[in-house]
Amino acid sequence: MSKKDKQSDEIENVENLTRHKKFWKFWITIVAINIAIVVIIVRLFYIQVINADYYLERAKRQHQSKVELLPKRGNIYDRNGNLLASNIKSVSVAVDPTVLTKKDTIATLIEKNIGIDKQKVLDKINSAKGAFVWISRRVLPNKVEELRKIKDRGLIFIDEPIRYYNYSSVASQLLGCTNIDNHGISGVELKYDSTLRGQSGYMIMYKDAKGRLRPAINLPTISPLDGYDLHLTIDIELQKIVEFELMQGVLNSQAISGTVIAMEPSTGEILASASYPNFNPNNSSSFISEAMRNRAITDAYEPGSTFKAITAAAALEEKIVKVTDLFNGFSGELKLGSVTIRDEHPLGIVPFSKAFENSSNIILSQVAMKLPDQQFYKYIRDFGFGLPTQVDIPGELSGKIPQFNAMKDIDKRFFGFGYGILVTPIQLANAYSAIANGGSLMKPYLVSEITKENNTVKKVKPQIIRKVISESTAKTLNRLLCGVVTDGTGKRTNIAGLQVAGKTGTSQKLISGQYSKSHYFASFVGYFPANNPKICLLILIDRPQVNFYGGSVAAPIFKNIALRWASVSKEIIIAKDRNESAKSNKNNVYVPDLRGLSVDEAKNILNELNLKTHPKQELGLVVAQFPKAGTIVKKSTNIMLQVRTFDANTNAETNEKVPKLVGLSLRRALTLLHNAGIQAKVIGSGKVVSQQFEKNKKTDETVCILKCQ
Amino acid sequence: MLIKEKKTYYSKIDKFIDIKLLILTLVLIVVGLMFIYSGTYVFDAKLNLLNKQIIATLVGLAGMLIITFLPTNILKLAAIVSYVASILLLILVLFIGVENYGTKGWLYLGSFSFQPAEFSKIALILISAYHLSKRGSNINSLWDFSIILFFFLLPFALINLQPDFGSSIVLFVIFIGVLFWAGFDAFYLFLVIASAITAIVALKEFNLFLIVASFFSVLILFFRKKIYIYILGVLILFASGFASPLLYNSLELHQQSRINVFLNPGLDPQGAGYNVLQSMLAVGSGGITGKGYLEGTLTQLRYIPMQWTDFIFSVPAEEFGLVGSIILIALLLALVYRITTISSIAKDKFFSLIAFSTAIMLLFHIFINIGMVIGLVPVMGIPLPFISQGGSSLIVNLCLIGLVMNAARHSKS
Repeated sequence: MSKKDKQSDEIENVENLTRHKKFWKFWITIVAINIAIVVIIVRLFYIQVINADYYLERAKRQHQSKVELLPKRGNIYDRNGNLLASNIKSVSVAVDPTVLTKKDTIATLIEKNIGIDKQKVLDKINSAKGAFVWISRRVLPNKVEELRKIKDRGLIFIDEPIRYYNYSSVASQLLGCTNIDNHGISGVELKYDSTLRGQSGYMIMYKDAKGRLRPAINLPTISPLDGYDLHLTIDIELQKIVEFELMQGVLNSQAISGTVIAMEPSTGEILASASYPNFNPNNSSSFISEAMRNRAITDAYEPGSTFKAITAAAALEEKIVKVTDLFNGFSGELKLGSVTIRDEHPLGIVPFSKAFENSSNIILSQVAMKLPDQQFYKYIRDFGFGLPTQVDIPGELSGKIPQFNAMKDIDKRFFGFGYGILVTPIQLANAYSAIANGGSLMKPYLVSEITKENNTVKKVKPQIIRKVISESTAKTLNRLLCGVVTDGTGKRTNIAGLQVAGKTGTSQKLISGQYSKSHYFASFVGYFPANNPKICLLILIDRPQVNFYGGSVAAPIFKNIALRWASVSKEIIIAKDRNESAKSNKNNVYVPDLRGLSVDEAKNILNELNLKTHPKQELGLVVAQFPKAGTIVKKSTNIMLQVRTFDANTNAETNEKVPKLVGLSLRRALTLLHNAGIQAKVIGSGKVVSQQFEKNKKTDETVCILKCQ
Repeated sequence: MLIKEKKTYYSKIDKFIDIKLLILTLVLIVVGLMFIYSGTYVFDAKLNLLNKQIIATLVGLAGMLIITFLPTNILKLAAIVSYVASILLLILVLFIGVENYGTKGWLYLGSFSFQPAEFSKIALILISAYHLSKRGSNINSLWDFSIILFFFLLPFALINLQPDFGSSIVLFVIFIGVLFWAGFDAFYLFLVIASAITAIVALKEFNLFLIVASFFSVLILFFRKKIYIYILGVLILFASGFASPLLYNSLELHQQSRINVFLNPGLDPQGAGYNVLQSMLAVGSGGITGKGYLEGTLTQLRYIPMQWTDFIFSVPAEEFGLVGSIILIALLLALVYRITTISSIAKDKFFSLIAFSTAIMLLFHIFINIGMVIGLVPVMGIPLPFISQGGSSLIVNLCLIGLVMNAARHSKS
């Protein structure tokens, strides 16, 4: 009871107090508190409920950042699965000049590590208007290690993969290259850019107040679609051989350029294609359009004698001419009004086969005259001339065939042996492939398969465009072409144990309307083994200077390629015949072709064959050998190797690195010296008449003094 | 508003220490630590803000308990001592203080910092309560009013020299609260508040000032006063409006710019304006139920600079939405309500005044701080009581709670 009393006392007490003076003040305060509550809650309701979407959207825009996820560019493989082009890690450096603080330190480190002039870097930063400037794109990661240690908000690193070509300049024109944004700009990289490139995705990331990105868990991520991988029809081993031999051929003949295309006759697959000069796709400073051009596709020329096979094909198929038909060779000179047609090898009255073997212009001009215009035109079209082959290489020309109705007789005669028509090497090689495979013109192609993660996406099948000539005509032509090699102008391609069919070509270049007496195209086109053709090969050398005949300039290149390929390839059976003949005498060995191999590789091969060698240098490539490849020698014979160092950094005994330069043109001599890493001092101009080495006492470097006349 | 609890042990304890007040205080401190944790989560651990706050909490709770049980005469003595000490500290800080965010307001003792301005709040409350509770003192006498005015103006002026407008306005609010609760003539009280508002408005816009001044001039007619006092009132209103721009022009340039930023936070987008924009984004994007604890994107991505101090309210608003905000506001205002109740039931004028001015001070803090975060009032350095990180403020607030508990103890015994 007493407790209750106390409580009620308290209540009374409070009531008294509140009724007292304080009463209205207390309630005013309570009202003030409630007004405060209402004002704040109304405001909160306005912000958090009515305008919530607006603030949410604005907040998102501020702290969410769309980060592009770059797809991986597809790889490129050769026909045997060798990786030709892939991607390696690289870092791009950029700055945000608006927040950059350590300008000077950064510029100094960039000069030191990446090699861009400090002043240039500073100029770039200072002249920038926006908040982002590239300083250096796609630098190898080790070069930016030091830069990464600098803490500066304005310094930006972006991982950008760089395209890397495993074989450097090998197949460079076919593969092409990419620009700084990783987009293809030539070759397969350009043609298949969209296939290789893939699709970029994005990831929404959180961006904190300092602009740093942080991963978010529940935000959408669209993964990038990586590019597809390409599988080419080329064989990188053959390509290497082709390129080396082409380079040797061009240098030896002092030509300005050369091109080779090798095709599989039965399918139209391009096995190898090269042009010289070439470039290194890993080094953008070598990107010169002259060197990047795939001349087998992009250049058209007058085929000359190599075209005679087409004339012959038309005449034989139409049964206008038989192989045994006799023709008059007019002893090498046929005057037709003001024009004279000449033959290099004067003939009398001979059968057509003999005329073909000896590449008689006079007799082929007669055959052309016998062919009715429309039929001749039909075969030229059917063999694919005058139209692009639609090979999947960018920059193809269609060539040009003359209009027959407006053609004079004399023009038709010249046409019969390959003048007055423009063809691309690939068109001609494709036409020869048709002869080799029994008369079907194939569509040439370079990409055989498109894959993704080892799953085939698309497979390209060989495609017959049309049947051009009958099987029997093809066989007849095959015999004629074999005859060219065994008995005619193409003897230099004759290989013991390997039947080669082919045709030489020497065409004068048309320079300002006149056929030049000094500017020639030397070419050879053929295929082997003739009974079961595996490779159709065309060699074209532009403006050889030492000797201009196709038989002397282009044919040896053909032979070298064929020989070396035969020793590598499993498909071509030349080795079998040779081994058999070698086996007949156990002490005898065939000398292998060592050219183009490194000294170590050459040594290993020779060791296996029980041959000896004592090269004077251990580094470099074999450029010449004695005895020559293919000769039979006794075991333990010493094979002499001439080695050329291509690496400019080895300053060994200079004299031996450089072949004799006397007699060479100054330009070529300088090229060789440059390749050997030797400085040159030139006295006079013209051809080199003497060479002499001298040591520069100041720099201790060897200088080669060339006297020229 | 009285304890109708029947359990005996409850009322026994409640006699010693006000349980509602204690629980509200403890809950608010825990909630505050929770949000400081979120606001500094994954932050530079060097600052160790949470640990500092926990230490301050322990110190403050100890102080609170001690003060709760101090006898009245010691408290009255402490009123004089603390006031003198606070004035000395405010002078000291002008010489050896450390400047943070443009205010020279921090004293450092080793690694611990201390804000004398915070301390001066409790000192002003104590000294005013002490003086007005003296027998025979009358706030409506010119002498006593002048003394109270002097007690207020001295720290007010010193704090403005730092300058710390936030704290000086809090002192002004305490002053008004004391006058109001002590029974100061409502007309004059109204006049003081009205002329302060008129002076501020006059700085912003002349036309607005004319409207506001006229409005107040009409309002004073509701007070029953002699006609010459009306005229005097109207004159004071307009005079303060005209005087304040003159006073403003006589200030130095950097002082003017500070006042400008205070009046127009939008002028300074990189400073206060940026903070308000970001805190409003955080609050608005929180929506009705919020993004979840430690999930607030603006909070966790550190878009709100110094969020754990003056902008702490944006953390619960973003992470718990409108629901969480209302609960937190309800807790804070329940505390104010409880203190106001205690002030009205306190038998002793000394304790009643202490409790009321504490309530008014906390109410002002809460309203201005939250209003600042949601863009209702200009940004000024006023923390959210018990929630914001800041040792001085927390310890002072807990000591004030101790005084209020002492008041409750006295009123119940």
